[in-house]
Amino acid sequence: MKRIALLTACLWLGAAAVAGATELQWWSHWAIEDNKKVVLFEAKRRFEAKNPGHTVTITFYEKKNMFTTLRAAFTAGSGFPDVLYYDIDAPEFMQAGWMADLSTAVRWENIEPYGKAFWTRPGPGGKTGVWALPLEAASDELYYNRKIFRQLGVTLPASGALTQEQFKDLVGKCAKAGYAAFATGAADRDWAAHYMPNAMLLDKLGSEDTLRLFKGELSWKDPRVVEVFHYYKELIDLGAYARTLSSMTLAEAHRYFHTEQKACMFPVGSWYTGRAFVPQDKGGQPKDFELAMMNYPLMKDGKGHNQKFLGVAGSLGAAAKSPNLALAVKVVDAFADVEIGNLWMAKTGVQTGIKTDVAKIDSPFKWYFDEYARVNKATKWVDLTAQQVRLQMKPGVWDTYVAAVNQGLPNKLIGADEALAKLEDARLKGK
Amino acid sequence: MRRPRARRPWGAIAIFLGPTVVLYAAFTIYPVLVTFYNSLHTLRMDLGMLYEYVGLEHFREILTSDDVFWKAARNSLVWAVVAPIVDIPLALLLALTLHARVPFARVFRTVWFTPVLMSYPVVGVIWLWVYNYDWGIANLVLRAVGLGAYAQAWLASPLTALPALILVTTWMFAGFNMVVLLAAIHAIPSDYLEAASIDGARAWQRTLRIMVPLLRPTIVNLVILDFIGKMKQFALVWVMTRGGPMWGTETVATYVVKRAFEWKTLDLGYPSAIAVIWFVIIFGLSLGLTRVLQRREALEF
Amino acid sequence: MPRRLARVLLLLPVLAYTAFSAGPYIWTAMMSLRTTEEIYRSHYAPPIPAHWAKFATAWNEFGYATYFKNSLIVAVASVLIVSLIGAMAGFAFGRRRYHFPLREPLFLLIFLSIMFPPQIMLLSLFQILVQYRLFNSLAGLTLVYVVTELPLTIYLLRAFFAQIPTELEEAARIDGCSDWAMFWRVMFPMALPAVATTVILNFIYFWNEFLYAVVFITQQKIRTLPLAIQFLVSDQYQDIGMLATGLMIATLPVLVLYLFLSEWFVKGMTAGAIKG
Repeated sequence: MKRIALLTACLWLGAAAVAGATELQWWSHWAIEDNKKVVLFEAKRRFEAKNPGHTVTITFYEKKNMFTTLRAAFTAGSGFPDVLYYDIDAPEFMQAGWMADLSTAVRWENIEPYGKAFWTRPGPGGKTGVWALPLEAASDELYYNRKIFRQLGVTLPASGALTQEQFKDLVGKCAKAGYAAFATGAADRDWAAHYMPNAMLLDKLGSEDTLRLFKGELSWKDPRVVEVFHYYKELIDLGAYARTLSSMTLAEAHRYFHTEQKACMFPVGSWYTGRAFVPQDKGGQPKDFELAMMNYPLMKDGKGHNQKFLGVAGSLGAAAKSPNLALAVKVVDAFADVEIGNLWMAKTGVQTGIKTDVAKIDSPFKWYFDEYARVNKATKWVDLTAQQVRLQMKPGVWDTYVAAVNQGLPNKLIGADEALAKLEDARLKGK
Repeated sequence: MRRPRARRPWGAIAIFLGPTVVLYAAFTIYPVLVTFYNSLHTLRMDLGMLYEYVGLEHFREILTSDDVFWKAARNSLVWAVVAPIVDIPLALLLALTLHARVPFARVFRTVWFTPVLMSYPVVGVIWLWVYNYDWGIANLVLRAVGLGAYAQAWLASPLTALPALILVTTWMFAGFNMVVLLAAIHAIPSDYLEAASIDGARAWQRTLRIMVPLLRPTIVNLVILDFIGKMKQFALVWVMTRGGPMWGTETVATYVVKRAFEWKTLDLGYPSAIAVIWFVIIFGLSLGLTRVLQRREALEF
Repeated sequence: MPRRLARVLLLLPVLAYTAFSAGPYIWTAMMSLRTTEEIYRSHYAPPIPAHWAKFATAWNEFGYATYFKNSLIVAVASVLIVSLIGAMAGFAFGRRRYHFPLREPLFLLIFLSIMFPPQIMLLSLFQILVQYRLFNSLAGLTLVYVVTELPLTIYLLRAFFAQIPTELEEAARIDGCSDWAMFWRVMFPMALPAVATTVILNFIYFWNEFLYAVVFITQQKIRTLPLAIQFLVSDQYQDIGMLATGLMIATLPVLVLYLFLSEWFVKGMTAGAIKG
């Protein structure tokens, strides 16, 4: 009798679980990054195993389209996902009250403190919350093609950093040999061509003044800034960028660098590996490609030698107005796990804001981690990345920074002085 | 014979026109009025569509200090003016050629008309490939005929991007315009043309001189249609360049959508004001164009 | 024979334009049968061997089945509704019997809205659809499509109804036809050829529409084909081969129909231009 009652109870519970089954929607960036997808699917699997009856459907986007679509959907209050990829490209989502506060529902003990701190910000009505889980962390790196360097007879010092004269020489050599110096493609990212100028400004001004510059407290006519821009313009005139710069997408730029091998270097976020370390037929780098890393050039009298930008990148959040918020947060929480952190590192080669247990990471990319550690041995990290500069700048200045420095200057449409004049103009407008 | 005046069949009128009037009022007139109303407010999407009255402030800002708007307006206008100038003479030329009884004329007509049946996203993707620097058809052809020095990334410079997009719309619509003109040519009474179809060096000239005035109403229609279409251009730009580089292909239509859903201002009021300005301009120019072109026609005949 | 020679010489520019006109699409068609790897090796090689299976892959794995279905639902529903409502209104606007004061101004108002740029309604329609919970639904999109093509449809059909002789109407009325029967049994069947042209015109427009779709649809499972292609371009830009296959799926049905019914298509598509 008792057994039958128990059985009935079980059946009833099972039925209830099925009746209350929800299909969660999860929108994610990383449409073409299969190794990141592996981690996402593992988290999904864990969530579904722990919450029987509930399922998650992941839809992949390229994020520019995703954020545009999300703005419309959130405003409309319908057609938005429960769980979403989130990063600092759309900072207004937090204050708009579209992101759920995760401060109590996630096992933060498994997240690096800097990662949690990054997403701890004022939300709607100024109330502070934690708005996303920092899945990906990345630094602004400078990769190079070792084979081409060998061909050109270029050798790097142990520090991996050339002086500004040596670096100019290198750019000239690349151009003369028919290569672009940088494999940048700015078609679908507002900040793709910002890596070089950002890094050189940081090296010249040091972190404090660079931030002041971005915030509008320091003039773009500051002689040090002018010097950096003029030097940068010399590199551009030597043929630093591909002619296809502004019609090339980020994904194509990767291909340009590692498959077509038409560029010496690639200044880009250390999430480079996310796209590159996948099978070649999925857009990954060829087996025999000789990837190596170096440091940005040392500017004359620079105050920021050895400083480099590092920050939280791709993250995960939940929609505040999701009808299944509790479950959505559980999906996010599935990532707050050292095992997931390890899996992320092992699969993607990208840093993560999740705590990891390095000893347990078994990855074919060990050599890469060593290379990364070597080039960053002396690095002093500055909490900002090319993608996050937008946060520091006023909207009008940012728009100009994109138009002038991501498009105009590297395309040789305008000169250094004109770019700076536009920026100073925007700064003084104060919008 | 005059029938006694029947009572007006109001019931039937209501049935036949009811759905149209209701739909039209609710989904055309009302939205237009709402847009006008919105243009006087900021309308915060993040605060549950919170209205705040700002009067004509948006209009002042757009007209006095919004450089992007002016760039977009200029691009749209250039497109709307250049496209008919290129499309329609080309279409006329094609139509006259087919009219001259080129063999397989039907086949050519069928083929040339095809592009207009495709959607802008499809066309946009195909032409992104055509303009690819390394392996696109455009540069392939240039290199093949020894003009490799002119090969370039067509969508990468503000100087070439807009012309490149205009060429795409020409590709789409030249065949369409050609077919319309061809139909108009066929409708011309044949004795007019008999006189012109004598062989000789001046046959073409004569054909043109006789035909073009007769085709005038059709040409006027096509010009206006082309003009309005290009003033509204959105989809091709959205798929191919998103308005870049450096606003070189930004149109008013793309700028409205960007200000609404891509900017972090999250304000629907400002883009509504842009839409109102553009509405007035398109409407004014279209009516003006119709007037001018059709009046001249009236004078000539 | 110089005349014959001239005609042959004319063929040269004609062929050149044909290459320009058809080249890009044929190139895409070739790529649609090749894998991306093959394409990157040589962009212009013929599709040998032809990978027909790619169409099945695109259809099943890349969601084209869904997008195709959505496009078809929206286009067919919109065409049916706009044809019926447009014919009714065109009939009432075109026949003397239904004249009433303000009828002509009303018609003029509707006619003028053909010139409206869509932006003037885009954002407020967004608001309205949200209000009535029609945002993110194929029904909402259908409604918007019907409204946008209604003016042109009415305009074209009114012209047709206006030129049907009155005698016919009177004869039918003596037989005791009600107004509705007059329309539905007598006039509408007579107008079918004219309706068919608007059906084609509208169908192509609905099948290809992008602006409203991109603003009013955010969910993947209700994307229409043009919208899906826009997303796939950025999501899978590198997978040129599969994208080309998708483009063929989006265009082939219309193009095949066009091959068989090209006269009707030409008539339909140019109807607005000739009379406008």
